[in-house]
Amino acid sequence: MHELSIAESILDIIKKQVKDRVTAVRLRIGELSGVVPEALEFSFQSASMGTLAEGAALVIERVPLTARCGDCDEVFKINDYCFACAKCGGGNFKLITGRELQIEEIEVADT
Amino acid sequence: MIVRHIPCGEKTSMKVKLVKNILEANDRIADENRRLFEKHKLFVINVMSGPGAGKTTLLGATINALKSRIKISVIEGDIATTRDAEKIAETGVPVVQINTHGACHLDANMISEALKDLSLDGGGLLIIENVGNLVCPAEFKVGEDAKVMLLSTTEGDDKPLKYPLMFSESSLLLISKIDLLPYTNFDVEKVKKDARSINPDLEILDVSARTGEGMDRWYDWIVKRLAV
Repeated sequence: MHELSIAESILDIIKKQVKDRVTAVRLRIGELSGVVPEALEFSFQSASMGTLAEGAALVIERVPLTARCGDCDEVFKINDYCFACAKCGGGNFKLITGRELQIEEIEVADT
Repeated sequence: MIVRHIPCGEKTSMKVKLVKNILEANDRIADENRRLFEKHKLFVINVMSGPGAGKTTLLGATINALKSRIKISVIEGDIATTRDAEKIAETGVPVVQINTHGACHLDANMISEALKDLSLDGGGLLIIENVGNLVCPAEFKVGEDAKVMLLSTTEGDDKPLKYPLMFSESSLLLISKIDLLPYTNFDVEKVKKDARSINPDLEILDVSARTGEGMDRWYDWIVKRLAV
């Protein structure tokens, strides 16, 4: 349940960035991060009560896992945690995306 | 950058673009911790596993084996109780207990607070025993030099593919309770293959804190890094 800590971190950032009522928050969450979107939504709803972000929609974009092969330089997508190069089958790689935990945009009501 | 976005008609709204790491506050404190560790020439390991993998038993044996050669201190993370800290305190090394009161992981700020109760002078090894959980602790940096994870033979060999994040983040995997292997259907080679498929740089050692099997290689792993 570290989603609650993450929800609180999101609210801290919102507090520093905006002064108006928040209507939506866009997030980018990597597939390899241990975050369960439903749990994060639930935590955010509870933690945002009484704040500017109460009732705001949490829009979560899942960022797929991608890596660059260390043998053939191919950039490939990793499906179902099958960590092998799609081109040469090699297992020597560096992750490119999939570890994101980012807040991308905050939408506020224009007053 | 602020983009004014006016949808057709009625309500207006404003979008604030920012692209910020959600855990930036944690990462900033982790960096501060790291600088403090470097200043005091401390080698810091963050030890993680699911509950019951044998972290405390392994660490107790490790401390007893190394304490005459190395200055060791310990930060114990648990949701509640001081049982693990009491066990570690029996070894005679300084130990600080953090009770997270519900949180399933340690974060950089908890470590920063705990450091106030430890004497960092003289370098050596600082062991951070994280809360027993195979998911959440891997998400939070605390300023450590290396993440070390345990997976016990009694937990099952499907864990790397079920919980890839921790295997991806760790530098060393200790396959613990290796003495119990004959009583399980745990496939050691499959675990190693799956874990290395997630993290090609992962080092793996088979150990048993109870019988001492493989423990020398684990101690060597620590001592080698302290010397650098």
